[in-house]
Amino acid sequence: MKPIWTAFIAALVALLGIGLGPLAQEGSSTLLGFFPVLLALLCLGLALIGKLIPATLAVPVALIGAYLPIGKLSALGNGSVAAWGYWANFWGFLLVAFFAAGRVSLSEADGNEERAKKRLRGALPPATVPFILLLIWQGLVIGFQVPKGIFPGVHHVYNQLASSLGVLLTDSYITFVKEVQFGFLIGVSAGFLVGIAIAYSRFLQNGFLPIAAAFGAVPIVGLAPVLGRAFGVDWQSKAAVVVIVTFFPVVLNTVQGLTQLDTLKLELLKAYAANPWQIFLKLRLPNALPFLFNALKLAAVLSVISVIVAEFLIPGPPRGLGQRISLSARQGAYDTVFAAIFVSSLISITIYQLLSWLERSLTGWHPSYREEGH
Amino acid sequence: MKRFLPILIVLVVLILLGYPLALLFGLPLARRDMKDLRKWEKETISLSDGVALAGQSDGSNTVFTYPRAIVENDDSRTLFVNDSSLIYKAERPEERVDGERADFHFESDHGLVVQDGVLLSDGDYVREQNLIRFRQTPPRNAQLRQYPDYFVQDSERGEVVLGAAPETGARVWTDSYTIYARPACGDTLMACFFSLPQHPVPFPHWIAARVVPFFQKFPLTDERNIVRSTLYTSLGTLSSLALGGAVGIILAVLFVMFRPLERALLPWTIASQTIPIIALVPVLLLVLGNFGITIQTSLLPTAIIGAYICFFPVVVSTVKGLRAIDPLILDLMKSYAAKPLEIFWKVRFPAAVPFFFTGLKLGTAAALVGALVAETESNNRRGLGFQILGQVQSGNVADVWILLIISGLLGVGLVAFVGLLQRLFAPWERV
Amino acid sequence: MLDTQPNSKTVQISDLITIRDLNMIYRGRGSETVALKNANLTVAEGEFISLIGPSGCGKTTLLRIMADLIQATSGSITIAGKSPRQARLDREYGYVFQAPALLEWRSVLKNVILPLEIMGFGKEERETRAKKLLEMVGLKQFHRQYPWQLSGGMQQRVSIARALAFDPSLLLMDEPFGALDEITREAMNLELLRIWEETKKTIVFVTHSIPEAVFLSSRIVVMTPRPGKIEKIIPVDLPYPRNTDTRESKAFFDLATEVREALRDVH
Ligand SMILES: Nc1ncnc2c1ncn2[C@@H]1O[C@H](COP(=O)(O)OP(=O)(O)OP(=O)(O)O)[C@@H](O)[C@H]1O
Ligand SMILES: [Mg+2]
Repeated sequence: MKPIWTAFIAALVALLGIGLGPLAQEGSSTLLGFFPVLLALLCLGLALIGKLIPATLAVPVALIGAYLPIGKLSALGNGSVAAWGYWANFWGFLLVAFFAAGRVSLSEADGNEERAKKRLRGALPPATVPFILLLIWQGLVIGFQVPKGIFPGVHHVYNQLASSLGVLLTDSYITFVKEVQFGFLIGVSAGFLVGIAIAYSRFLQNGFLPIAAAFGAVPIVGLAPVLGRAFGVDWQSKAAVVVIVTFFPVVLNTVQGLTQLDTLKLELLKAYAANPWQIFLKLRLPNALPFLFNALKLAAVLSVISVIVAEFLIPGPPRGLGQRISLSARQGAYDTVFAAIFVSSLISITIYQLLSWLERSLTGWHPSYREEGH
Repeated sequence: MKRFLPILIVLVVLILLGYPLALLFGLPLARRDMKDLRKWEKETISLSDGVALAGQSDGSNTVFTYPRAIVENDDSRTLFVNDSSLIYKAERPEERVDGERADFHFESDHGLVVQDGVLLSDGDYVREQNLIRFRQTPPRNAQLRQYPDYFVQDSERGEVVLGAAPETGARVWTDSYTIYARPACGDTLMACFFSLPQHPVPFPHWIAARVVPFFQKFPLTDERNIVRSTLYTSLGTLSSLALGGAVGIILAVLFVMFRPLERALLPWTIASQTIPIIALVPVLLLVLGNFGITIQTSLLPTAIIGAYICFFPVVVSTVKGLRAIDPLILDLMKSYAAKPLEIFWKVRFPAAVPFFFTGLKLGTAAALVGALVAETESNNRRGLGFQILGQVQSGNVADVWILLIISGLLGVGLVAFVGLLQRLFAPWERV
Repeated sequence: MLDTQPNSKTVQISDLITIRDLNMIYRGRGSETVALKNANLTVAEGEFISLIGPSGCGKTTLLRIMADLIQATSGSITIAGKSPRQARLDREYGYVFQAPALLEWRSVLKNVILPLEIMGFGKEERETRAKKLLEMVGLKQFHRQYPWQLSGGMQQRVSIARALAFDPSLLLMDEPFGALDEITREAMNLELLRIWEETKKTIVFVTHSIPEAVFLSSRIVVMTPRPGKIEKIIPVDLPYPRNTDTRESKAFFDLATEVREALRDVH
């Protein structure tokens, strides 16, 4: 396999920075030392070999390398802005990680390689992304010495997360368990039932479907203030927003799933003189499942976003992640803002993955899983 | 015409549905107004020769009842036992109720002891002159009161408890007291419904009646004019779409050209859709503000927020389009020995155009929401978002509904506009 | 018009399908397609009838009318003395579509079981029947697979097994072997003939293949397009049981030539 020339050059840049570049605008410290040099040399070597395993190894090595200047500069603690040595180290190592991960994903599979290698090829590049993003964030904040009040660093967010985890979890409980879960269940079941009614009525298909589709373009969260009046400013009004937001995609997809059928299959059941209930149970419903799951996933994403906007727009008791975000943002406590966003993302990604898992186990027959099937 | 008839019918039904909905949401509020004594009209009854309270003066009974519901804190209320007048006074303890102390001093050395509105019985405390020793330590911040003469136990029933039982045959009477006469909102539930200051869901014809005054509220020269607000918001949304579309295309092309980039990022794009990006609006506004770009003066923050929200569907959809090429056609191009760039321009790109617009359509609603939220965060009095928030704060619910309908129509219109673009740029695709 | 009384050489038995002056016109937006014009056909019980003709001549249409999946514009049709609708409700026929039409969320076995479920067969009987049929079409070891894991030809074999599952006395088959390779096709032909002879079913069979039509049928109905008409009915008096030797006989070639010429006349 060929050497990864791009990574090699990036590693050279990093090495150059270690040896020659000043770390900060003031003071004369460099990164020169045994460990950084070792990392850079290791990267050079691994990039030259360029095979799957060395390229894989190069990724964590380079990620650690990219952290070194950040750690050193913040350890200096004289508030000085970074100089070119810092940037050469930082970007050099980051690019090594980037190109090495790219090589891993591109490396050709040889016929009889083990499953572990195959897994590695699929998993390593996506796994690298959050590290690279976090390093870039932290590297820029530290490098330019951005004050916490303008944009917090990763460590600020982490500290905030650790210190106020209890509060954030209470907020999450309000937002997700009370507001989202409640609204989601009602909205989805109502949407499903209405969808069935529409699928079985030509009149409603002609009359209601276009309106329901148009609602996809309506900023429903705008209703939030009105619902705040109707249901009070506590969690009920936000749950109501979730109900409405989830209702329409579920209706649309249910109708599509129940009606977008291969006519041959309908004729087949007709040829068996199946009764409508049998047709529903054995044909329409299973056919609608993939559509339904798409709707559920969409509705889950939408309801999280909407509930947060709803909390912005219905200022009630200061509980819930959305409230926390908007209050903290107003006070300039961005570390709290990001911590809250992190928690909410973590929860919604979990919900999304749960739905995907449920989808896979219930609609594993669906052609979209073909590649994974074997 | 025939196609629109069912839509029309359903629309009419939906509008008519506004009436029961208005009742559904309004009546509980009306009932609350009607039941809530604090919202009743008060009336002071003065009787020249006085009237007796119900209750037996048998030497042991202390509970007496006014003829009607009485107002609890009432200066004009009188209460006599025979000729001596009783005074309504609540004494506070001299010490702070900190949850640890159980002994409290009061001004008088007699009276009824009440904790959090509940009358305590003699067994609950021991009295030593004006020192009360509670058997059970009152919790922190509990309300302790001593009523030397009498205590209003149940104002709705007009029930009072006297500190000392009147002797047998004594006359307990009043010549003046204030009552809750009737609900201020009206005598019937419907009357209360109609006099609600703000209906969560107004009757549809009330909304309709507001339309003309609403449009005339601000002249065209005022930036709060509805036409100008709508234009401003659509401008914000369209610039979001332009920016988001451009970013989306670039990313999609990068993804397709550099496979590793896609392999690394695609799992995260799906995950990132679950991140409530809209929560970043306040942060983004402030960060941009640090660079001197504020929403007061520039559309850019709105555009960035909207673009950030709407580019994901564009990327996902466009990548799908760039990929979803019939392998036969790719083989055909290969057989012509076409260069990759040619294949891209002649096959992949055109094939992706309809997909791109489909993604953009999906993003439109999101971009509109982004613009509206961004506007609520600004205070330059521009845009529908600001209008909605303003009307909410001033309680013009009918106007909020009109604004919502307008934003809904705007959303539909913008999607239709993108559809028009799609037909323009991808005329071969039957939509 | 042609007289379509049962062939004088076959033994006179009761008619299962009677079609009289059948017309089918598809009305689209401003266009009309005459898919069938004055079709007359009688199918006796136990017959093996093939419909052959160029694409678009109305073979599928005719079959679908028999199955009550569409209704003729005019004319009369009876199946076992009943209207097609009644015949469908009585589950008189099994239908094999031009495409496999398998339900992709059901495994192969479950697909074959589907009609049995709908018709209320007992659980054990469903399994045994389906397994036997899968064995017959050579897919026994695939019964756990999902349709997409099967090749087109295998899928079509599943759909044939499915049509046979509830043992209808009449089989309507629309190019069932069109997607199969030549070898499998011939094996399936033999298998179909065996089933037909064993169970005394009546089969109406649409095909594009002349040798297949000759090999299988007791009569061949040659159809012509625009408008779809029954052009000629050719009796096939090759003796049953037929086997691979039949394909090499002179009578076979003569009949094939006759059909080919009848088809050529059309153009
Ligand atoms: N649903 C329909 N609507 C309108 N026209 C139709 C419809 N189905 C079939 N036709 C027309 O009827 C004619 C006969 O169609 P049919 O499907 O019966 O042909 P076929 O003989 O089965 O052809 P093939 O061998 O290709 O399957 C064709 O001209 C076709 O265009
Ligand atoms: Mg056909």
